[in-house]
Amino acid sequence: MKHLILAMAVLFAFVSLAFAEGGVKKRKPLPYEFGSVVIGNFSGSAGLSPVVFDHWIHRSKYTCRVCHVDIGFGMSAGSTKIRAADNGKGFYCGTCHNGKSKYENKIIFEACSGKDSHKCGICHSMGRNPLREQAFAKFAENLPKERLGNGINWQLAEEKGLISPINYLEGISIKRNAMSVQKDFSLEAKNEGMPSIIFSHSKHTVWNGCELCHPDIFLGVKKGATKYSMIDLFQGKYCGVCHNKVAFPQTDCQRCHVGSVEK
Amino acid sequence: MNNVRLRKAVRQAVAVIVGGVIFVALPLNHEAGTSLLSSTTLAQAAEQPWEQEFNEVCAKTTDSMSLSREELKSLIARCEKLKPVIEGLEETTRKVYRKRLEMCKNLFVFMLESNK
Repeated sequence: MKHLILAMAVLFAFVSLAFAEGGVKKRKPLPYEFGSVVIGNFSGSAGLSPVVFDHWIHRSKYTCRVCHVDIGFGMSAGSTKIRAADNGKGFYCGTCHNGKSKYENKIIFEACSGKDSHKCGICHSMGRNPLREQAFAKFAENLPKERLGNGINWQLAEEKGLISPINYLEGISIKRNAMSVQKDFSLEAKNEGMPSIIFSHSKHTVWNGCELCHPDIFLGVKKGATKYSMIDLFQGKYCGVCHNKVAFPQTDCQRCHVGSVEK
Repeated sequence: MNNVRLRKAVRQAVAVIVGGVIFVALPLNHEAGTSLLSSTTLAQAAEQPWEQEFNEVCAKTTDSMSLSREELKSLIARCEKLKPVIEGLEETTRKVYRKRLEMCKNLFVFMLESNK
């Protein structure tokens, strides 16, 4: 009980600090909004609404690696600076959204390339897509539940075969050898009474490969070389690059702090 | 009557020439990365020598943990050699492959430094 109270107090302090950084408390995203990215580098100049990209629909079909390594999307909103012309040439969104590629025998609609403006509204939908919530609810109804984030336990969904993200796109991805699975390792928690973190390489590499995390996100591999703090993580560094934004949020303490309590 | 036949023949010849020009111009434009066929993807284009080299080098990322220092150094050198080739490509191809090459080269450098 004492440990639980301590853990709650630490969590409260970190969350408060994270919110204090921005000065304004952000609204907690609803399950269907969690992981949504607004992209609007060039939309305004083209007279279009920004794109609302829903991670949930894409991550149920493809691994993170396919999009962020093989296709080359950046890891933060707007960093890729996608142009309609890029899509039209078959890159970025246009890699799959080309009106020819198929997913489960259905043709994937063609990305907006500036020629056929009525198609643009499918993605350039900021504030104009009231059906997103219903679509998400229908999608999520049979998937294992989780308390936070999208409300979906994605890992369990894959283990149960309810989703099978594709890890290879013909003509885009590179044929690689299967990775040798690394052992899980433990990271000691800094706060007394907090269980240690068990980091699973196998859970992460199955969706990400190596180069998505190393060295851009995690530079040091030698144990103790990098000091991780929850403040850094809540500011979007290290685990916080994905967790909080797309992967389950860091407020779900026991997803990572699953080890033994150090004495 | 002869005039009508002559006009018809000229029209047919023009149609054949225009058709031929379009047939030749499309693949040429596609190779330059500015395909007139918006739905033609890179995946459908024939693999260029630089792409073969890129695929061969970056396919090693999953093996990077078990590679020797010499093998890692050789892969880094191959990435360096590919860099100017990629810098010379059409804008979007350059942007995509510059990032992809950087990611795999940086991983090899990271593994090399981790193995010290």
